[in-house]
Amino acid sequence: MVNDGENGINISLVATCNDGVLPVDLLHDILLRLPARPLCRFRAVCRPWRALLSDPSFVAAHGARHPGPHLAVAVRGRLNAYGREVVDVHLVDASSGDVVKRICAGRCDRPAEMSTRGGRALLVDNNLLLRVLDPASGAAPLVPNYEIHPINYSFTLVRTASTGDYKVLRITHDVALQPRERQVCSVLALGGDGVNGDRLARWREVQSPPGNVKTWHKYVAVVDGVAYFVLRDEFLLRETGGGDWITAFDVEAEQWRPELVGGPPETFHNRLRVSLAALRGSLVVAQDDHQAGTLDLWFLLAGDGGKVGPQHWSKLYTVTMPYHGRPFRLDGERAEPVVVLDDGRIVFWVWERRVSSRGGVMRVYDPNTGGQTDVAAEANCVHVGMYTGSLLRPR
Amino acid sequence: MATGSGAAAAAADAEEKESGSRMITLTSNEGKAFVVTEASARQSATIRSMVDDGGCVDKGFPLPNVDSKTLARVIQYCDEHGNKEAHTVDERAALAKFDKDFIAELDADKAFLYDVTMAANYLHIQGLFALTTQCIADTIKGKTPEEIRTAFGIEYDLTAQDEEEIKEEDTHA
Repeated sequence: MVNDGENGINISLVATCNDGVLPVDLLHDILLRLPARPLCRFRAVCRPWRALLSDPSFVAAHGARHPGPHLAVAVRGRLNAYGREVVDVHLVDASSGDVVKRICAGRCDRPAEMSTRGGRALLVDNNLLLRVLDPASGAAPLVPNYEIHPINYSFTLVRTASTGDYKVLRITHDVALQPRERQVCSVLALGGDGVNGDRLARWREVQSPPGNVKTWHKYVAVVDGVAYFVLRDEFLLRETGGGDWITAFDVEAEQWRPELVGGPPETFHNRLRVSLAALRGSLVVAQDDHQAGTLDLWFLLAGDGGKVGPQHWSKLYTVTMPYHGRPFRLDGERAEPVVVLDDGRIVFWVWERRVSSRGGVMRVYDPNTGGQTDVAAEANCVHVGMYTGSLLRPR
Repeated sequence: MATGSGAAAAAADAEEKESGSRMITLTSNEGKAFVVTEASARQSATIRSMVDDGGCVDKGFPLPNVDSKTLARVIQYCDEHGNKEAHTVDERAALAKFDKDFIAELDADKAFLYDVTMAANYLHIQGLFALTTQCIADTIKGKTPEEIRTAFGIEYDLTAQDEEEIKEEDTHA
């Protein structure tokens, strides 16, 4: 008999057959070595295993043993029993490309507009019902106060830096704007549980951005509770002449920062091929030079809180991308940096050359050797984000 | 094993080499004595701490939880890892090959594998414990719950309510 008094779990010897006897403390060590997928399956073995696998201390120990990082990859195309398409979220080990867990996100009409942050993924439906998926448990409750949104909005899930609470930033799709129309911006606080705690969540309209911004996900990045957007060209031509082309929304304060952010030096006149990313806690501008087949990664390393200009950016990497289909086309193959691993390797998602920007491969790049390995491919992928939540569901 | 470059580390290495030449007697629960080098015995954190505490090196160590067959196999592992160097790539490759063959042989006899795992746990032999638990983990990784129950002789005790919850979880996952 092994009595784990701390957790109140009381499990006798778990294995007493021809294969010999395996005490529960050993079982604990063995199960900790397994990825999340078999462990979720093993909840159906027996009651003691069920109790152990959802025990908070086991879940915490498993998280420490498998710290990730993990990618959340949204995959469409699977049909449910009624022949309707459902979306699955795959949690993928960032260095090996192994799928450690699959979660069904249910029907989701606009999966490419999913927004992943921390341990949650915001799902956007056709009628703009919003659901917040918790990949650890698979639950995806509706966001409260889901009055019919005006159509043509885009959503960004953000986590505040101080409390870790989630907020949704809603902003008019830039492609739907009429001439001289300003984008409308609202914020919904969701609370730490990703829904709304005990409070009744309400959308609060906040000020419009200093100039209209691009809302496509490749032009949005969130670092430390601040959402960065790329300003639209007509604003830049009129107002700034092109140098300051990024604007920042402080999600905690729920206001746009008064100062615009100046981009890296070489991006002054050529923003067609840039995208924003958050890597190693810094804002990153990825600048694509399709002619040379390279991708420059500029890190914003300024920390003084003042006005950001070209001098604050450092080009830390120039990655040679073996793109297909050069010369550059807007709908061509493009690489999106997702995460820098502890050992310095960089994980990219390389989207296929398609108008719908669907499908692609996960490519791990080693800056020391220049070597690249495609570790996973997913033809029906529509969204890739970072996932930092746990893999198992505690009781 | 200390592989540091500083003077302190070098001194520790020298001391270890010297002490490694002593012989230590381990006694199984059947009373059978096994004489091993101290370097080999120090693979076990349990024995290492007893030796460092100035314990009864001369009298030997009785191990009431380990039988002779298991102890012999554990010592085989400790001899390899305690008495061989692992500084160069080749030496490490040789050890890795030893581990691979060692675990492949154990894997053929599950009951014995569990015995060795428990002994490694009891004696705190970190490398061996990692080796055997990973081997067991790899074995069960692809099994269905039913196969797990069969392999470990577990009785099915889930209630209707549990089954309902599992069904619910499965629709999500």
